[in-house]
Amino acid sequence: MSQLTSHMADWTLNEKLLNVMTALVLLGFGWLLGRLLANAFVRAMQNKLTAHKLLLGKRAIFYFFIVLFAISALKEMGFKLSVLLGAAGILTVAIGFASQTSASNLISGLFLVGEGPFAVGDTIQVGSTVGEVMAIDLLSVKLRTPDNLYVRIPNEQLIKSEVINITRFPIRRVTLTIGVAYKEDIARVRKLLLQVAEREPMCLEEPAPVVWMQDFADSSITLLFHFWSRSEHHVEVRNTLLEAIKQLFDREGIEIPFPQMNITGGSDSAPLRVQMIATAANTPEARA
Amino acid sequence: MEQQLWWGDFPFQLGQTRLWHIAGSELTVTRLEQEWQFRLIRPPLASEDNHLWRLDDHAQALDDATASLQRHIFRNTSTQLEVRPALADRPVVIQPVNPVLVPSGEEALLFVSTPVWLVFQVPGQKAPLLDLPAVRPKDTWFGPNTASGDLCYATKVFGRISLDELTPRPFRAVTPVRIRNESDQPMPLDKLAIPMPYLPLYANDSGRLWTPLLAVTRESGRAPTRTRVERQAPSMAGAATLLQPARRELADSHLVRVLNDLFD
Repeated sequence: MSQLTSHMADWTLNEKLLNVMTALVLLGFGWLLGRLLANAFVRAMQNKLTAHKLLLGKRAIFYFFIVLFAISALKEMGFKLSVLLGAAGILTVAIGFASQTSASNLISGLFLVGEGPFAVGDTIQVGSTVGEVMAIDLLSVKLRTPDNLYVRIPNEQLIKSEVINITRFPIRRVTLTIGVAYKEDIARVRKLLLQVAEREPMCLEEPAPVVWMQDFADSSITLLFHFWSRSEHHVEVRNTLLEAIKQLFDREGIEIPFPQMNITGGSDSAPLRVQMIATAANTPEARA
Repeated sequence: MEQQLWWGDFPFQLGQTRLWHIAGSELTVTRLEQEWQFRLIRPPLASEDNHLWRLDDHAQALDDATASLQRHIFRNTSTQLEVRPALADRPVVIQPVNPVLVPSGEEALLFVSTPVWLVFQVPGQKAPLLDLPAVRPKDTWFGPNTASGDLCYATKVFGRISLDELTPRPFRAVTPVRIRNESDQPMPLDKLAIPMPYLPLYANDSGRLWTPLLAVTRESGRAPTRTRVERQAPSMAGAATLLQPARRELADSHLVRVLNDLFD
């Protein structure tokens, strides 16, 4: 009798082991199938979809198969799904408290994907970080900065803060702040600046460049020089034009003044009197 | 006649260098046993008005310190190099100096000239070795606002109502544009974007470059402007031969949508 009981126990154990093995095989198979189909999707749609949509499609296919096979695996191991879901309801509260940040990032990620303020391949600015979007994941967005640094930004932060998509539109305006001396003829300076823009092919003809007078500053008249370029050229054009302006101003004798201060001594703004006092040690005779 | 053209098929000996002076730029092409070398010097201020050119069949290669060098490696280089003009790779925006109006029920024929590119190719190779503008035109934006529109090239206006008034220039191609206004309102021509990538390029007997006629019809109501590109060289060009096919193929159904915003 005891032998029979021991055999039955062995059999039950073996069956359980078998179920666990089947579940593991199912999970492995699901993982493999998910990956294969996701990669096949990417290969098939490579030329038709953007990098962002490809990534989303790939993830959706992969997770769909993982979840599907995970449910089958749980069922295989003898878990009742309805009971599990019930337990999950109770667990959710506990897990919710424990993983508040992750859950928040997850939900934010879903909103982010739905809203689509940027796509993979765009260059964005979050706070002081500028970088190209490499991936939009469920918990975070990964950026590659111009210094080739890998930056992970939690989705929650992206939802809460201001995000600038730098490459959303094909063209952008570049503004240069230029100070010239008070003695300069502003009309002539404006003409010269527009001439610089005219000569640079990467500087757009339309929208036309403009020069605005911004301020009577302490040491100079501040001018704002607005021009447009392709978004991907803006750093290059900015650099080229700054160099060209410096060269042109030097050639044309236009002064870019240093900060300067006039000291006056009274209501008439008359300059302060400076008197040289000859001391015994400072006289030409003493020096000789 | 062949000597007066800057394009054509050029035989190259091993080690030979040819020098093209083109609108202020200098370009040398050197054939070596296993490579073609292109050296280019562009002036900082190239002008679209400069249409001078000269070709030296035997020259020294430009100095590498000042020229930008491009090398193309082959198993064995061919004995011939094809040099062809081509049209711009983006639409070109023409803006009349003063606004022009086409009254209701009227038709106008304009001749506009646009800058051409230089394409260097070896026989048997589909992709060109070098594809560059004779004079780099300025970039410009063509669209209803700064968020939607197309990146185009801007060019100086060389547009006339009479063909005789349009001076033949070696680095510009003539596009006849026939505009028919069938709407009730006068049609303003403030800006015109010529879809160059969709046009083939022809040359006539005298070496003048031509594109097919562009027929634009504005219909009454809110119907979109219909645009049609003729399939052959325009009749006013005389006997013309095809030099370059269009850079991009255009399905007929596509035509209206692409050229819908021909006018701004």
